[in-house]
Order: sequence, then C-alpha cells, then structure tokens
Amino acid sequence: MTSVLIVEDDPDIALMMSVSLRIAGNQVSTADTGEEALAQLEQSRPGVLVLDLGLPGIGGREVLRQVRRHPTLRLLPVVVVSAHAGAPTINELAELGCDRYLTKPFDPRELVRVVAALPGV
Amino acid sequence: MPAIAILSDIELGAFVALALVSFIEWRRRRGEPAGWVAATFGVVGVVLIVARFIPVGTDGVPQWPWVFKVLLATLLLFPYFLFRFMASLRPPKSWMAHLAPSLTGLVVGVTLALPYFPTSSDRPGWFQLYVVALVAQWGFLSVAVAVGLWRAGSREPAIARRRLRLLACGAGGLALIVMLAGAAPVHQPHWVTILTEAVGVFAAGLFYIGFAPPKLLRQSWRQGEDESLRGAVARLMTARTVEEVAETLIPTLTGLVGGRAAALTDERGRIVGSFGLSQALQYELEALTTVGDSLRDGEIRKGLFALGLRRGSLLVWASPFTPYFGADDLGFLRYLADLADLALERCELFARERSFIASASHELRTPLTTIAGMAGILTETWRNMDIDTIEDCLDAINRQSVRVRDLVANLLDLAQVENSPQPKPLGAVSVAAAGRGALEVAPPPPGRSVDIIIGEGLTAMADPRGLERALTNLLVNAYRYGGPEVRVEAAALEREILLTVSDNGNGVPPELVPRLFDPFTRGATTGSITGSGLGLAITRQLVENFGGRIGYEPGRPRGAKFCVHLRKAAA
Repeated sequence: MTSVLIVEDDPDIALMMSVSLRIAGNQVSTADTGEEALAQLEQSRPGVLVLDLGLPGIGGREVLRQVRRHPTLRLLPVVVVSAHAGAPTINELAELGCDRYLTKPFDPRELVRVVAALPGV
Repeated sequence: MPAIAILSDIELGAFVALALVSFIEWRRRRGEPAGWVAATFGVVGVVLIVARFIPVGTDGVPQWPWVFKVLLATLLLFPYFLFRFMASLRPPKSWMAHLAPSLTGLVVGVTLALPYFPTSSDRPGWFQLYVVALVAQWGFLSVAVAVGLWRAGSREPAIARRRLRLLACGAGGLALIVMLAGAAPVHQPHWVTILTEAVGVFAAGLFYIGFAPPKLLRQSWRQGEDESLRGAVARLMTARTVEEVAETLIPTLTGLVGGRAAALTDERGRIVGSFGLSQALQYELEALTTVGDSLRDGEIRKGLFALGLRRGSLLVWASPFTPYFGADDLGFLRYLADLADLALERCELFARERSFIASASHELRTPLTTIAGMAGILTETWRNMDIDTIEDCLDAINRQSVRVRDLVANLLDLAQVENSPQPKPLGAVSVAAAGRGALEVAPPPPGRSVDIIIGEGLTAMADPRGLERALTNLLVNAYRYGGPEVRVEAAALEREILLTVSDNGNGVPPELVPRLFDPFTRGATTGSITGSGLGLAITRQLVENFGGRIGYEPGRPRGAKFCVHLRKAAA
C-alpha cells in the first residue's frame, strides 16, 4: 500500500483523485493549500505526492521547490497536475524536477496507472 | 536640304519638350536623380535653342566663336549628366566614377582652349585629335550609361525594366550619333547628316518614353504582373493565419519592386514572415531602426521601404532603381499593404475564434471529465464503497453537472449578446431600480455584504433586463473573487452615468487586467471558485450594446473597482 498526498484546491477533482487512488489500494490524504501540503509532508512522509501547480497561497511550484531542497523529501516521487492555462513548459518541468506530469482534465484511471508506474511504488 | 531642316526642327522640338518635362518632374519630385535628368535635358534644350541663332559663315565655320565654344562645351556635359543620373541610382565602379569627370573636364577644357574652328575643308592634325577626344568622351559615357541601364533592367519589374531599356537604347543612339559624326569624312555626305538627325530624333523619342511613359503604355506593360497580383490578392483574402498572409504577400511584394527581400513585422517590430532576408539584411534593419528611430509609413531609407500597417509594418528592400522608376509599383505596394491590413484583421478574428473554441472545449471538458470519472468509479466499484463516499461522489457529479449547465447557458448568453440580429431597444432605465433588481437576483452569500448607493433620479440609456444582468454579473464576480464588503455606487457626470462596483478584496492581479474582459479569463489560483469565466465578457458586451464602456481600476485603498460608463438618458 502506497501512501499518497493529493494537493488540489478544487474539491471535486481532489475527491475524484482520492477515491480512484484509494480504490486502487493506496492510502490517500489530501490538502487544498501549499502551506497545508508542506505541513502534512513533514508529519506524514507520504510515498507519493500528487501536486496541483495552481494553488492559492504558496503555489505548487514553490511547494515542489521546497520538496526538492528538503534533506529527506528531495527524492519523493511527485506527479504534477495542472490546468491547461497554467501548464508549465518542458524546460520548467525539468527545472522543477517532477517525475510525471498530467494536464487537467484527465481520466482518474490514468492517474492510478501513473502512480503505480512510479519507481519505488 | 528640306529633309535635314525638318528633322532638325523635330529634334529641337523633341529635346526642348524633354527639357520641359524633366524640369516639371524635378519640381514635382525633387531628389538627386530627377535633378540630374532635368540638368541633362535642360543643357541639351538650351544648347539646341541658342545654336539656332548662331550664324554660320560661307566656309561652314560658325560665327561668334566664343559663344559656339561655350555651347559646345556645355553640350559635352550632356552625356556626363546622364552618367551622373545613373550613378545617383546605383554607384558605378570606382574607376568609372573617376574617369567620367576627368575625361569630361579635359574635353570641356580643350574645347574652351581651341584657338579657332577650322573650315570644313581644312582640318589640321590638332583638330582631328580633338575630335577623337570628343568622340571618346561622348562615346564612353553614352556606352557606359547604355550598358548600365540595360543590365539594371534585367531584375526589374515590367515597367521599370522597359523604361530602363528604352533609356539604354536612347543612350546607345547618342553614342551612335557621335560615332557617325566623328567617323565621317571631312566633307560629311548628306546621308550621314540625315542619319545622325534621324537617330537624334529617335533617341529623343526613346528618352521621352523612358522618362515619362504614358499611362496606357504603362498599363499594357504591366498586364502579366497584374495577373499574378490578382492571384496574390485572391490568396491573401482567403488566408487564415498570419503565416499564410506572409507567405502570400511577401514574395509578391518583393517581385513587384524587383527587390532583394521583404519582411512583415508585428506591432513590436518582430519579424513574423520574410522572403530573402539574409543575416546581413537583418543586421542592416537593426542598424536602420534603432530604438526610437523606427521607420515611418512611406519612408524610404537606404533602399528600404516601410509601409505602415495597423498592427505592424511591411518592409521591402527594393532595387535602387525603384524610387525613380517604380512609382506605379509603389502604388501597388500601398494597395497590397492595405489589403494585408484587412487580411491580418481577419486572421486575428480567426485566431480569436479558434482560441475561444479551444477554451470553451476545455472548460466543458473539465467538468465532463470529472462527471465521467466519478460515474466510472461508481459504476465499477460502488459495491466496495461506503455510503458516505458514494454520496460524496454523487454530490460532485451534481455540482459538475450544474457547472456544465451554467457554462452552456453563459455561452449561449454571450453568443446572444454578441450576435443578436435585433438588438433590444434602448430607453431610459432607472439605475437604482436595476441595482435593486440585481441584488434580488444575486443576494450576498454568507460573509458578504452589499451597500447600494444610487440616487433615485439617475437614468441611463440601456435595456432594463440587460442592465440588471450586467450588474448581477458584477455582483457575482465580486462575491466570488472580491472581499467581504461590496459597494455599488452611481454618479451623474456631464453626459454619462458612472456606475461602480467595488470591493475590499485583493483586487485583480496586474497581469490579468489587460485580458480581464476576454472570455475564459481567470486567475491562476481560482481552482476552488466555480465560475464560467464568461461573466465579465458578457457584461462588457451588454454595456457596449448600450453604447457605454466598462473598465477596471484597482480599488482604494485596496480591492477591485469596476467602472461602467453609460450614456445619460435625456431628462
């Protein structure tokens, strides 16, 4: 069982992701702001982070930067999700250091496949 | 001999007419090339007229030797000025540029220094040497001009090419005249005189058509190019992207003026399409258009023509002969530039339409994917789910369905207010009543408050339901994205009613302001806030339908402030 932290501010999309990942056998927790996500990462140390880039407050980009600089979280597998309008460029994705990237809207089964295929999951 | 006299009169008339035409042309156009043409034919016209008054002795020697010498020396400037005309369009090779004035100066000096004019029966050696020098100067310059203009015509469009070649033939005729006269025996036979006069008349005709071709002739020369121009115009009018406009327009433009290259730039000066644009020309362009020194519409700088468009410009590196010979082509360039403006405007509309369709599809796809995803999860796994999760999923499906319904309704509303075949009739509408109506439709949600401060007597030109809808949209926008306190105020200005809807929230991010009223514009961090992104676009269209306008400014000390300017209704 993999523990997954979903960081998404749209409650319906967060619900869809969490239900599909839970049914696939993962343990899921959610956060709807960047600040909450950083706090949960420190406390629960999940195995996978599913991160929306367009978050209010501390944005997803900043959360990812902090994760990659963190001494113990820097190798955490991260799946970035983003709306079409705020989609990062390929260069930015490489710079951010995400493992996989999905553009919203996506089929929840695609997310389950992506998480399952991550190295070490 | 009457034939010689007639030809001589015709020649005089032709060159005097050329002198007049070239002088008028110079007064009209100014510029170095036109100046040299006027000087060329001015010289020959004056010489031919004055020469008529110089009596000739029975021995064939002109009387008034000093006047005759000055006239002859002046006439020797004719081929030199013609050479300078060509050089003013395209600089000649260095040796030629040095030899032409040296040779002319020498022959003119010798002419003025001649001790006397011998009779036709007595030609001493020094005089024959002088004749050889004279033929060499005239012949060299005439042949240089003839060859230079002929070769220059090879890359030019039809009109310029034919004009250049006619002038080349005219200059060749001049060389022929001098060769004939110089090579003739001491006693020149009549047929040589007739031939030289005839060639002179013919050359004058060629010069005349070359320098001032009649319109009908120009039109017939252009026929082939007109056909390709019509094809280009048709392609231009069906182009759907800026790239297609550039592909169609730029080669045609370049061909039209026999140019080396052409480029289409946008309003920021960035090149969006080009033809034949080498790195060297790009550097040349950068050097010519330094910051604050961009080319103006119609400006020609170092062979680079700038044609201003509404959004950008067309730049054409034309042949050096175009400014003088390509007046018709430049007219067509302007015509094509105007068409390009229209075509680019259409492309922009197409681009906006494509962008709108893409955004609308995306906006619909997002909730539909969530609905489909949730439905799929429920269908496949509902037996393994607890009742709370099932309820959460059904709630989410319900919310997303409502979102789709609202989005479709807003899309239809936008289409209706943008393209209504029969706009609603406008009349005097009470702004206060519209405010009250909007508040009834969109009461503040928990945690929000609305103050409406509108005097009862204020009336604006609008349709009542439209104004209420516009205000409702602004209120809903403030509830969704603004602070807890919302104020709706109205004031009567001289000719309009200013209606403002403000709040004390964070305001609109500056990067969003330029496209705030475009469809589907939303901030990057509004994920949990459900809106179609069409409310402000609909509001702007409604206000514009009333003949008003809407704008945004940051609130003071904070928040957002939407300002609606409406036409005041007559009292």
